[in-house]
Amino acid sequence: MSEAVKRISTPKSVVQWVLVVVLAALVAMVTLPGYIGGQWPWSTQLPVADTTEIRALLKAPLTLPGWEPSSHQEVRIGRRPWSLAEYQVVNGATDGPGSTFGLLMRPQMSADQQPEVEWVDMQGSQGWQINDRQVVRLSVPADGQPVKVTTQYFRALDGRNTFAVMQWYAWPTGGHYAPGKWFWADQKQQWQQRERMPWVAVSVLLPIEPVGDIRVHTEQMTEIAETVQQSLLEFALIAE
Amino acid sequence: MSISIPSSKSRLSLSPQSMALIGLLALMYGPLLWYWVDGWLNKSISIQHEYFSHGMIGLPFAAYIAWSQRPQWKRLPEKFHPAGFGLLALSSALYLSQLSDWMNISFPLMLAGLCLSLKGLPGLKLMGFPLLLVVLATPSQLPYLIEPYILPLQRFIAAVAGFLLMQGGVDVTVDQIYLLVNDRMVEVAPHCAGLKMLFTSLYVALMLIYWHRVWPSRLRTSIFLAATVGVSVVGNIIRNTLLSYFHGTENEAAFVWLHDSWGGDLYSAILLVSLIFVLRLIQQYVPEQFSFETNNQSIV
Repeated sequence: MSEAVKRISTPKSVVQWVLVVVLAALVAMVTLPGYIGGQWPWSTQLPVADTTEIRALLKAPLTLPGWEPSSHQEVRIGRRPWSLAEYQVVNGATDGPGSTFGLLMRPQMSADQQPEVEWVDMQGSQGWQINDRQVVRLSVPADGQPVKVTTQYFRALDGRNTFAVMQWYAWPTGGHYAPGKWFWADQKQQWQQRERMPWVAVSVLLPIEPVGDIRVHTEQMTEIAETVQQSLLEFALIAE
Repeated sequence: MSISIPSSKSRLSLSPQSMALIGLLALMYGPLLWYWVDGWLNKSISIQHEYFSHGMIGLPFAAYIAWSQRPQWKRLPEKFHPAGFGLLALSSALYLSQLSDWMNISFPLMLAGLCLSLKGLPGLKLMGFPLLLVVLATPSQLPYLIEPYILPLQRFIAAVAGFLLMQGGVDVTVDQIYLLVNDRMVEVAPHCAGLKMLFTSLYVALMLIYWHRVWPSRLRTSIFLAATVGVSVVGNIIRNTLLSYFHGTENEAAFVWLHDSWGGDLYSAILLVSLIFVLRLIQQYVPEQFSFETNNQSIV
């Protein structure tokens, strides 16, 4: 009988010793360096790729081929600094719908800032009535895979003006209007590059005829949005 | 080897393997837990992690329950469940990742993995409740992912707070999640909208349900949980109404007191204590389960 007990009990304590060995290995690899160096992984923030270029967006308008900035200023929306620039088309009629548009961007200022409620803040600060909400996908060429962006597109009325508005969060490898999509791109970046994913909240405002149909402007808006994403990739969102 | 020792030994002392396991766990996760508690106390942790500050009461409670269940744990036969190693492997990988969000998650996975490896499914079942408390107190980025979806709740709270202020004769305009009182704007932000309070209330409700052994009655449990959600939402409507009122009437001191200072903590504490009274009421007036009066029918 004692033999039977032994035969059962031996593998059990083997399991326990295996567990001890596994934990001891983890301690040796991760925990001990922490105790020795006094530096813990959780108290050191992962860096975001250089945000100098992104923060510069507040100081100077983004260069867009085919368009010329006619004004630029820093504005506050929901206590956050945003960059507001107006652009005028370079070749073509200088007035009439489609010849000018506004670009509002909230650049990331530091590694601990994440996309949050930018779209609600904007809607609230502008007092917009929003309708005709739809999703527009676009893509810009890049070395390797094209960068895919999913934007939200809608009509905004503020009492005096009517805008066609296209919004998304731009990052080096893509773009989406939902903060959750940035979150997973950021996680991927953390695992692969041990770095945070930089981002810029982008909002393109095209003044259109009063209470007009935004569908007739979808093509032009998509082109503008592609130009903006392209320029951001070139000048601000430097991919590693 | 004497005969008298084993009986006392089996009750009180731990095997060297168990001691080694507990020691290693403490080494691995002690500093991490300390970081959580320090962050919750000094609010130095990110806003997402602050959502889990109920862990300050939940984690000690979980430890207490687990410790008091030692005799039952000992009585369970040692049994290895392969899923245990799966969880341990996952937990180890997350711990090795050195990414703080994922190292946090490795903690409950490690505990569950140990339960499964040492005592199999019955072990996991026995420690189920304390493990649940640990899981729900483990800081993660979940609130960040949830926040966009609670916009309707924010709108609702803003609308009702606006309605209440209007009844009080205050000139107020409600736009989406913004309350405009005397041209001063208050935003009902996600964490102000009581998502955090809702989490904390539900967590405390869970502890009360366990402590007062309400869970065998599904009727009482569900009524209590529903009442908890109600108390937390109503509480937040009142809080946001007061905040908009203070802000609109330029009573900055009162605003800061209720919003950032100990006024907010006091308010939360009052809400949580009120849950105890709600539970008392439910235990007094709600039957254990629905009773269909079959006796009457048989008489008729």
